[in-house]
Amino acid sequence: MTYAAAVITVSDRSAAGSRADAAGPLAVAEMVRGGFSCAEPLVVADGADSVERALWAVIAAGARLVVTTGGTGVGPRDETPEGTMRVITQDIPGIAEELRRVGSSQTPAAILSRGRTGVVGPVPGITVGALIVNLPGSPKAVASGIPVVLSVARHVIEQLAGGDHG
Amino acid sequence: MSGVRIAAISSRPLDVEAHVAAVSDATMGAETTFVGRVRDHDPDAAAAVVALEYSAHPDAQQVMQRIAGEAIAGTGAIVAVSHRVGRLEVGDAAVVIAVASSHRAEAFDVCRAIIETIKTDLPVWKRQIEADGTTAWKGLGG
Repeated sequence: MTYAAAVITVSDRSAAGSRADAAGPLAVAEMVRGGFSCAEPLVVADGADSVERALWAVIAAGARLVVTTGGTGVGPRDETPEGTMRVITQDIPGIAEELRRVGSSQTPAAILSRGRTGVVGPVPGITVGALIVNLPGSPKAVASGIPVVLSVARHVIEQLAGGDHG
Repeated sequence: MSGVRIAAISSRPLDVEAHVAAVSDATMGAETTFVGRVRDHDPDAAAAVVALEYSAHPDAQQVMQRIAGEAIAGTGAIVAVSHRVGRLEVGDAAVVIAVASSHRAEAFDVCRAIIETIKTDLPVWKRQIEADGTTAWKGLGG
């Protein structure tokens, strides 16, 4: 079964066109390699509202796995975790913890990511359920994080849909 | 009976006649409809537009109810309005609004107010699918 995934790049500068999005296309390529179908990244500005809107848009359009990249730091415009928590119905902190652990083996700054991970449960007419993962904005963080995501994504998606998870 | 007869988010094709019928009333001398359709071009698209995929926030239905209710508040108008979601081909109706009022000015004003507020407030988003396979989200920045 090929599930649909989506990538959201959260960046004021990429949304304004002043910086090319490097992390988003990398995330797309890795997810396709991992067996998901995935369209080009949706690039949105920083902010909890824009992240929430973008998450609902891709989830309602059928995405079962959503990876965001960017906006997880402590800058004044870094609100990706806040926007994400408006959508997530069940937190899965273990994935975020593992992402920080794996990331910190490459760069100590990885432990500064406030990224959240969790699922949105079934909403009739909107989604059968989706896994949402916040990754930092650097291509390195995406490269080290996607394998962690792919190692559990299918299991989560199938469990959400009520499938056999034995 | 509330003046909002239909305020819906629907995954099925929209029926203009059903919306007109829903606002039909012997006390109303003016009736107007608005149909928003998928068109085959967009200023930002290099190729022709072949379809739009609409998706909605779980609260979209309630927001639609509020938009319709606020538009007719203080008027005697009756309204039926629906927004379709899912994949729509060129020519398909994405929005249908029918408004009935005792006089024409109010019917036009209410209808205009509803479509403008849908554009700004309704949490429904669209992804544009072009003939060359390119897709682009509209109204989500980027």
